[in-house]
Amino acid sequence: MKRTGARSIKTAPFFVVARVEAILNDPILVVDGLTKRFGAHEAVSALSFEVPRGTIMGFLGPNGAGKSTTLKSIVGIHRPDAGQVTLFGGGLTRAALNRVGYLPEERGLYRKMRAVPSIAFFARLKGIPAGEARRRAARLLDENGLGDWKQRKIASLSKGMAQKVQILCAIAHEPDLVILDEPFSGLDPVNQADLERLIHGLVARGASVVFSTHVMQHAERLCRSIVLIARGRKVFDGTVEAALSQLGGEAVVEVEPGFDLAAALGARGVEASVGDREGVYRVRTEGREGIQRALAACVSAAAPLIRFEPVRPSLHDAFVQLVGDRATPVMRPAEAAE
Amino acid sequence: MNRIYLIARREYLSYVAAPGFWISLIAIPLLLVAAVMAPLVIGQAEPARAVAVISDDPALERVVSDAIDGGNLQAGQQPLPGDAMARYVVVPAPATTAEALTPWLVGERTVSTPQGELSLSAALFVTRTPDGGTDLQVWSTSLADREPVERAERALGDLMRAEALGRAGLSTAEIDRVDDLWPSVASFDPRRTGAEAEVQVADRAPFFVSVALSYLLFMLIFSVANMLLSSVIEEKQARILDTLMTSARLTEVLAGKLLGVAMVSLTLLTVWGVTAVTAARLGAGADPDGVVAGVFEALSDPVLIGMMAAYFLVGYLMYGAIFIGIGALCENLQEAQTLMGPVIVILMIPMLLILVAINTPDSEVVRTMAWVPLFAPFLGILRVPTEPPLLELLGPLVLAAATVPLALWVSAHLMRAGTVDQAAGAAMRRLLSFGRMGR
Repeated sequence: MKRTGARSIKTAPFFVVARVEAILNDPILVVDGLTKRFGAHEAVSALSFEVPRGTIMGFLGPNGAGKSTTLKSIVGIHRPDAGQVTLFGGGLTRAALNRVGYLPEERGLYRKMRAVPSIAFFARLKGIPAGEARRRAARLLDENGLGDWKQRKIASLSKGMAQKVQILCAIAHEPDLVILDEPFSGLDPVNQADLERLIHGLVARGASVVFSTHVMQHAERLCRSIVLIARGRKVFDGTVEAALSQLGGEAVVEVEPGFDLAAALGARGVEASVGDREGVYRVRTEGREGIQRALAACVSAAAPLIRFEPVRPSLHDAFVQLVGDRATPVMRPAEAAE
Repeated sequence: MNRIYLIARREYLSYVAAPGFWISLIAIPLLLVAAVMAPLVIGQAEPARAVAVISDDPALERVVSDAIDGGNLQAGQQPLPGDAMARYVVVPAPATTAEALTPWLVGERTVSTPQGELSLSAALFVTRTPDGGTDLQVWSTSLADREPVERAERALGDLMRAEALGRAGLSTAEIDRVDDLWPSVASFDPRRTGAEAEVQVADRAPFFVSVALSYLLFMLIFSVANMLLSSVIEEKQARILDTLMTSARLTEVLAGKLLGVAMVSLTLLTVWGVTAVTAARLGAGADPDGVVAGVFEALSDPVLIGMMAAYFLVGYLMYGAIFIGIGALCENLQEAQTLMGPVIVILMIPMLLILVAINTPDSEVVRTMAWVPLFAPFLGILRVPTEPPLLELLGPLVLAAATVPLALWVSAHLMRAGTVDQAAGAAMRRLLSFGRMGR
């Protein structure tokens, strides 16, 4: 009888398959009611969200919103005053933390160390054997365009290069969850694109990525889901599409000069304002589906249309609308660094 | 443990890679060699000096000449290294009055010597006084060179005493015997019996070792203070702590730093020690019953040296942990130096106690103060050779050892409060709250 090394999942008992599926469907990170205070100031208030396995989640918020405090609490640097963090279905054990890669917002490496030993050092702290850690460090530097700088001291690297090295320090142990605090800040557009590719590569390998950012374009390009916080409280948690759907519809409409589109649409219950030149109007509707009604109203009013251009909603607009006046909290100096 | 090792290793390598480490490493042996070699080199570099002895009394002239012309150098011979008197060569006086000798004394004329043509360094006029004494007049431009004068003075003094004793009826042999009279002193240890009871020089060696170790610990603590403070503050300023803390506990990070710096010190001490021991072994070979040989005998006693080493290590780690705590409280070296003031005052106390303990290691003050963890390492080392009761030997050591993790815990607590939580000013409040321990 031919022996097989491992049983195929198709032939595994039902309960095993069910358990494997349950594990795969379990969120990799659960933040439940997290609260963190600094003296009398509550930096994060009863924050809850989950990160599904194998996804990229954007953690967005204005300055001082509590993003870094939350991320530090997730990796155990801060101890929450209330609530809990569940990693890989368990607590913040050393074993769990060894499966996490973390890039802090405040960058720092040993300036006198060379690039390879720096990366290998942090990988070894996470349990990677010495030889393997050095091999990975060299390979990562090669793959990320820093092959010529492998044996250079960190002090001799540019700020952007040092930042890339620090990102590599965070991922050299091939973590299952990568937490990046403002990873794009300080990088030029080329390096930002490289980092986006790197993040996609991490997810392709099976890791989950959580990153905070102020730049909505990155979140829009990279994330399927986002969590938006302001003043330490969650204001949105869902997909990017869901965030965009919070916005009203908008279109730029151009008609032949002399036609009063605002009056024609106003009579049909659609708001239009005069644009920056004659014949150009901005039409706004409450929901994005309202744009269809606006187009129908234009047709109904026999407007001499030259152009009807729906404006693609951006996450930036959604961010501004969702955060609103909560974007300027009173900050303690310590949190201002965020 | 592996993480502590990795952090300690990184810390160690960062120091070893610095030029300052290598300068320190070779500076002490070089200074040691220089201290030994300098007199020889200086002696060899100095030219021979010609001295003339003028006297109407041939006996006086011979006594003074013999006292000065220690080298009896022949033509072409060089003075022996380190033999100061070998630099002086007595030459026949080219004239018999000071006035007539002036051209030779001021360098206008020279005399022939085995070392070549030399001007006169000094002219010594020795005469008998009417009362049977001697008179010495020195003519020289080398005002600071007193060596030949002192030699002549001693020789004339000895001669005058011998003549006086001879006049009193003593023979030359009796005078020599009187000169050799000296009391015989022997010390005994009542805890021993028989031939073993007599205290030899080697028996005192453990005390010399303990005093040396105590002072070495004192100096080492000062030298590592700066290293540890800089290391902790650099870590805070370079913002590396956040990254490290996802990989290791704060106490592990600090323990790693402490051990890393300890390994640096150990490396330095080992190299310096090997150099010193090699030099001392040569000395011990020349004097098998001397102090150096006794030191080696003391070092071969495992209990004695083990206890001293334990106290030394505990003292090093305890003060190191305290310096880390100070570093944790400070944002820069200036702040740290301000806080170091009280610590230096505290360190002065054992320094004073060491002075007391050297003479009276069993005094009530020393025995009591030895139980204070901050002073225990210094006083413990000094008390080990006195073979105190076991409780007094081990008790202070255990207490001081327990202070090390406590100091590290407090340091981690301060660091978490002051740096990680960025709650400047709240650090002490948090420390005093004795809340949950730093992860």
